[in-house]
Amino acid sequence: MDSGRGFGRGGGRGGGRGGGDRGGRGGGRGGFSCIQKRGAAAGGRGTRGGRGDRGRGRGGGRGGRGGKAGVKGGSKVIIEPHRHPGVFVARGKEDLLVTKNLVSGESVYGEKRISVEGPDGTKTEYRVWNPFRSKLAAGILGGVDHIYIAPGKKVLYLGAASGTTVSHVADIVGPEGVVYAVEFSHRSGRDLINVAKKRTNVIPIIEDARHPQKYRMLMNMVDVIFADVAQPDQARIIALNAHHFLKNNGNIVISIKANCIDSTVEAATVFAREVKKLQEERIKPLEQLTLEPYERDHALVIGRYIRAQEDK
Amino acid sequence: MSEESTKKKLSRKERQKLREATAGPGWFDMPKPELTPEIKRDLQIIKMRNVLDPKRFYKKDNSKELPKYFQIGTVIEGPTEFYSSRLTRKERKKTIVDELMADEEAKKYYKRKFLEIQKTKQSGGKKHYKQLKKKRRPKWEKGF
Repeated sequence: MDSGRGFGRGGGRGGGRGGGDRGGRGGGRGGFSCIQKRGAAAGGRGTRGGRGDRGRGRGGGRGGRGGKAGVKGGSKVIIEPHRHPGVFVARGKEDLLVTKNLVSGESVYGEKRISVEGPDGTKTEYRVWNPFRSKLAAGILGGVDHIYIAPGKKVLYLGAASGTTVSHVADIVGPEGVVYAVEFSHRSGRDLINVAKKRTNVIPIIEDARHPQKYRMLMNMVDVIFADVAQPDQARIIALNAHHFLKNNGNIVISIKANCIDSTVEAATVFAREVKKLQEERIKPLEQLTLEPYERDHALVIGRYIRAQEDK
Repeated sequence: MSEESTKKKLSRKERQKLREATAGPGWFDMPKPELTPEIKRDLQIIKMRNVLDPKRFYKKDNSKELPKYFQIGTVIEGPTEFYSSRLTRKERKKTIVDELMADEEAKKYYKRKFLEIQKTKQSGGKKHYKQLKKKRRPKWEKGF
């Protein structure tokens, strides 16, 4: 497992910007497996990602001290609303993407938190969202136009893994929204269930996303489907779930890893083919975005599901 | 019933005022805090942070005005970062400005930069010009 690149300290420290941070993605880099996230969770390496927190913009370390810089515990930051509803930015020496913590006082996977004391003694808390660990966060920082996940929305999350991104999505939709998190692997499903124990708006479903009829009795119609399944037939999986659970004119956010679909052709061709497949399933592509500085050969595709044409 | 009637009485302006008191439901009603001089200074520092460290680069920020809705928070380190990424109690400060001024090395840099800028800005003024002329005067003239 450790044979992968950039896993140890050296990797985490090497490149100036970004590149070196890849170490932070945690385990599973070693093999050629597509389901890298699960590997990370199974190995109990989730916390490793903490290294990745060192953030952007820290050039070559000043004064030769290699340590991870960024915002240290105890420093002050200013939190502002982000362009996307439910998302915030913490500004200090560097900018961090944060979400409002549903469960105050607890971090899910060893991420930093930011506590705010209100004038009347009320405490609110925010959690730092690392774009190197979450494709949705990478998409947001990449400048996606609309994520469609917002407070009060119902989200179906396919490929939830151990629930790191799920926890942030749950933060975004807030207490009025719901996240249905589907994950096939029991091992990382265990972590997912632990996330769901604390967050009442997360409904964990340990089931194969290829068979939506197996979990249809747990579900309602949803506004958005977010899919990070990394399977060769992911377009079919997503379409199947959309036909079952997605509202008319609901939205779909998909992360595509080119290597997992077809490693013999170029990434751009893979993306184009996947988009084509989605179009055949009544999903109108709205936007495509590469996750480049954070992930290699990944794309985020956003579409709208048009179940029925309106009669004129 | 009575609540409903009071709701109706609100004029458009009052409703707008109520609406602008927070960032709205999209951001979980983030409050609009009062701008004390310390907080204002912190916000200004964040605006101008691109001059603080020559090795650090930021996205450009074209807006002139300070943010309307914001909160000031303290970072809490993760469970594994006790030694690697934490400020000790002595190093912790009340505001961002205080944090910056606590760093001696950085303070020297700010001072040097300030003086450099001051020098270029003041050149060309009356005082500067007089001194320049004095320097240019030939040696034999200086004796008088």
